Amino acid sequence: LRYGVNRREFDEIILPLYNPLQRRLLMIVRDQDVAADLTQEAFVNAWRAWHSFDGRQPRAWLFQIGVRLALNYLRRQAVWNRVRQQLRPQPEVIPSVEPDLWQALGALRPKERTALLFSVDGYTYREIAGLLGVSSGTVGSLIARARAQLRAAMEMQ
Amino acid sequence: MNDQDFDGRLRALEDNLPVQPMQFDATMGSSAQRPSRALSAIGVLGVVTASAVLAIAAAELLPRSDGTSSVGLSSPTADPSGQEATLPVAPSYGPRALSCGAGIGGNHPIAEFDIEHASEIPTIFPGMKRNPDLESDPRPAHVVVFGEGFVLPPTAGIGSPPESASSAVCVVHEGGERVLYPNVSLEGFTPPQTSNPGGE
Repeated sequence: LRYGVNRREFDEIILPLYNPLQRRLLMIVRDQDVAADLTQEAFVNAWRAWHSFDGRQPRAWLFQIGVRLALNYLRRQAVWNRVRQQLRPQPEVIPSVEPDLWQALGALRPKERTALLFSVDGYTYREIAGLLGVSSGTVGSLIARARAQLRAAMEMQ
Repeated sequence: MNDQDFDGRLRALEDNLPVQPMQFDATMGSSAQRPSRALSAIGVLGVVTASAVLAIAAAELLPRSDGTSSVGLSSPTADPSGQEATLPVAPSYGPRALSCGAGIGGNHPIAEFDIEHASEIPTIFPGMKRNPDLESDPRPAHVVVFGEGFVLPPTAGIGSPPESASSAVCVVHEGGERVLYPNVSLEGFTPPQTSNPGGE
């Protein structure tokens, strides 16, 4: 018999991950409203797919749903955002902790940010590669580039 | 600054980012209050709600076993005693049970469960007729079981006469594909412990 057929399990296992997912998506998309929207969309998708969840690594399962939504969103919005930012700058999130690091992260490409964050979580290159749809070698390059850029940016400040 | 320090600072940054309140309502399986991105949620809710409305409407329109129909008789003010009658509460069914015909003509699942492989179904229902396709189907499936008096869902559109079956086993695959096996003998069938009749 398969895991994940009722709502109580979903409430107990997945709902506590709402805020962590929203923060992770905010780190990736850097827009508070978009991160909140994507989080709820991820939860709707997770609920729809709940019957197919195998019971292993719920955080990884949910975050994969959310991160794919975020990267798709960024891909779709890439052109439009360039135009929109010239018309009306988006309200900037100013975190209370590590604002300089937040600023430096903004200079990274979304996949670099994402790869770095999941490597900090302890994900393997192979797992991150599956998440991003790239090769393990590319993941290594993304992470190395992200760390080098961040280090350089922080040393300049 | 080494990588460990750096990772610690990244975690601290992420852990202290502001969040917006939860907008997800798992009781509906959808999100609420955020119209900008709620289209997919509306889609899910819409399908479920529409299915429920259709099922209830079908149950109202289909003749009962005594040949009567409930159309026109279930108004809250129709109670001859003059007291306001309360509307019956319709049982809630999940979308997969609804797709199998739950709610139509009083159809109520006696068991629902998920299985790893559809090929396990013949062993769960030893009284079932042999079906080579099912016996070799490796896909995971959700199974909805109906007991005696099952009314087959209409397949020829509105107005087609309802057909009855003694009992039925409905197999729903991921992606929504559904196969209904009517007149399955339930002899020897024991609902699994995690069986979840009437809900998902």
